[in-house]
Amino acid sequence: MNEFLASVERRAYRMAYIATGNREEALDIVQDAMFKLAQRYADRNAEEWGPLFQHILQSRIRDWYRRTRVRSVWQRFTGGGVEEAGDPMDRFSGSGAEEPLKRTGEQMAIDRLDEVLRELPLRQQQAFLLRVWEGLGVRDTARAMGCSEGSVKTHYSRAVHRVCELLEKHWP
Amino acid sequence: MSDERKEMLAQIRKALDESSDKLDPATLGLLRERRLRALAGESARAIGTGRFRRWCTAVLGGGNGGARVPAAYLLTSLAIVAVAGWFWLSRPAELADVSVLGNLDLLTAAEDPEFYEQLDFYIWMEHEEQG
Repeated sequence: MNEFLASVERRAYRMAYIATGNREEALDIVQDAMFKLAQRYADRNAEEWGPLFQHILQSRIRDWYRRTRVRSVWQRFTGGGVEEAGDPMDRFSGSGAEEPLKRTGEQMAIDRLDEVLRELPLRQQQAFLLRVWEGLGVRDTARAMGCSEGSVKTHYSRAVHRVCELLEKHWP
Repeated sequence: MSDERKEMLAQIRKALDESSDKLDPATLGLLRERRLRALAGESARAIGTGRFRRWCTAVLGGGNGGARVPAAYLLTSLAIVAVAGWFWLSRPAELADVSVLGNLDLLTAAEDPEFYEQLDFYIWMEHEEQG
């Protein structure tokens, strides 16, 4: 199990980070997904861990999104202050050890890609990442997202259109 | 899908691969730590609860950084919420002062009250000019 989790943790973190834009939140999501997989499905066949983990991860990201929405509505209702934003530099991947001057064109392209993906509605973002990055088919994506195949097709198609439209002028 | 788009999606996939391969050492260390915690049976929600307690302590006071929230603060807050809720729910709908609700935006606005007092004058002046 440890080996499996070590093999998927980077991608899982990046997916959670793209969704949340916050390192701590992303780490929490990944840990929760790992915890649930280890706690409930450790005895399953190792081949099943991949799809199960992806399903749990996407579900945790969705939970985070709902909680954030509720919190934001509540803050608007109560006229509360600005949410803790944390270190703004955390919004850039790999910001910790890198000096601004060392940010290469490649890093800037990744930051831009993150921004564009973050502009997508969550379901479109999930469909896009699962299909394009994880290489899942429509059926497996639908399982991971917990929705119908038709919904996946719609979300994916809209996401591709939007991402290409937004990146066209700014993609190296 | 056009070849151009297919090419772009391939580039995006490559960029995403590289972004996860080149995570900084600090994040990798944290990821490893979280994995070991998860395998040891610790959920991130436990960490979240700890954060919430720290937040309560910071906001409500009590304890030198500890997780204790003084019972008095909590009880007072609960009592205020309960009384406010009771007033809100027990108030008959027909008695709701519509004029107060209608003027809520005025009451909460940052403008000088004098501006609103003279509003009738401005409206009258506008009618005069149009007429």
